[in-house]
Formats: sequence, C-alpha cells, structure tokens
Amino acid sequence: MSVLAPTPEAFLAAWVAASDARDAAALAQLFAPPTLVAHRSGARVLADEAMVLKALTGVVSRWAAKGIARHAATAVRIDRLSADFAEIHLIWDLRDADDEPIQSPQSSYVLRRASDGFWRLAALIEHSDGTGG
Amino acid sequence: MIAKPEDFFASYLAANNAFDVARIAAHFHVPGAVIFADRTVINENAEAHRASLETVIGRIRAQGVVRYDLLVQEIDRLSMDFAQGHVEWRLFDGEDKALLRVFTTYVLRRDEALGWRIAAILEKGSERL
Repeated sequence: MSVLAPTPEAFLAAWVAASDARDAAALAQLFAPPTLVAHRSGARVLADEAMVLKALTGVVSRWAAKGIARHAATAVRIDRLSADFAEIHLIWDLRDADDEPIQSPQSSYVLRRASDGFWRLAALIEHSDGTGG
Repeated sequence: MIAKPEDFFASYLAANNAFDVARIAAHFHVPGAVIFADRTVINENAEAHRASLETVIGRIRAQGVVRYDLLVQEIDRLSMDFAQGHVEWRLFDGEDKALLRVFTTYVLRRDEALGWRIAAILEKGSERL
C-alpha cells in the first residue's frame, strides 16, 4: 500500500498511523533519501531506501521492546517555508497500551514537496529523546 | 568558536565575502546536508565538503559576483542545541549592482567543542534581479 502525503498535515497523520502500527515499511515511504538525521551529539545519513528501512526496522523494534503503543503529537507547529519546503516541530507523547506515558522526545521534521506533489522527509532533527537523559 | 546563534551569520557573511573556502567550511558540521527542491547533497566529510564549496564559489564568481549581503529575517531557537536562521542573500557584481536574491534556511547545531555550526541548508529559491 502506498503511503502518500499531499500536505504536511497529511504527512504527520500518516507518520502517526504508521508509527502506531509499528510499520517500518510504511514509515520508510515517507522518506526522501538521502536523509540527514541530526541529533544533539552529531548526525548520521540514511543514504538510500535500504538504509532507511533498516534504520526504521530497528526503531520500531525498540518501540516494541519499550512497550510504546501510541504516538501522540503535541505542541505541533507546522511552518510553510516556501512552496516546496515545510517543517513540523513537535513533542511526542509516547504511551504504552495502558495509556501510561513512557517518553516525550522533541523532534523537527524538514519536509520537501517532491516532483510528484507529495511531501516527504528530507531531514530529521532529534532535539531530545525525552527520557531526561 | 561561535557561542550564540545570533552571532553566526555575521561571521558566515564575512567568510563568504573573503571567498575563503577554509573559513566558510569552518561554519559547517560534517556530515551535513544541502537540501534543494529536487535533490539533497550530502557532504560526508570535510574533504568532500571543501570540494563542494570550491565548486559553488567558482560558479558564483563566474557570474561576476564580488560581494554578498545577508538579511537575517528570523532566528528561531528550536531547542537548547538547535536553531535555525531564515535569510535572504543578495549577490553583487563589481559595479555594486545586485544580481541575485537567494532565500535560504540554515539549521544550526550547537556542539560543546565547536560551537554553533550549520547542520543543514534549505535552498528555497532564488530570483535574478
């Protein structure tokens, strides 16, 4: 099934749905590699679709291990920077199946509108992992 | 080392006006990304980055550009370690005529040892004057 986001808002909705489903393949369709993932201590590059899928498979495994079942986006700010660029800034409220809070990471998503008109992730900024560490 | 995001752009503008690749490169983290509307260029290491800068500077100088000016429209502090600046460049020729406006967003990351440097550039578009 294709995961396509015609707007930045649709991107966020698709991201939440794929995250709650722990569907790495669906999440991967929202990327436009090469994608820079910047974090507090450096950055890494997901050079192609295979690297994106591998990284996301690891991410969803970690979510499962931690019992993360629900991804709620809070403090959401969507900025349209130009016709082809937008950013989503948010704080995730990650909860388990009993609705207990687990983690609240802060992230920014740099989106680019591709030639097919759909929005995909060009860069990800991980401000914090939300564990207080 | 640049200690505040507010001080970043004056330093970056001066380095660009010197057309000094080493000084310009010192404003970047590696790996870093330059994100265009149709593609992303990743500079994986310092050597690749310097080569990329040499190419860009050569292309700009070939258009007769001798000077830059930079208008910082907004600096947005995203978190303790990340900020971004939305800027408008103006590129001038030898008769001080503005040739080009370029609209760019810089994502800056703070490193304890290196200070504030560019993590990613968003090339939003340009307009010939």
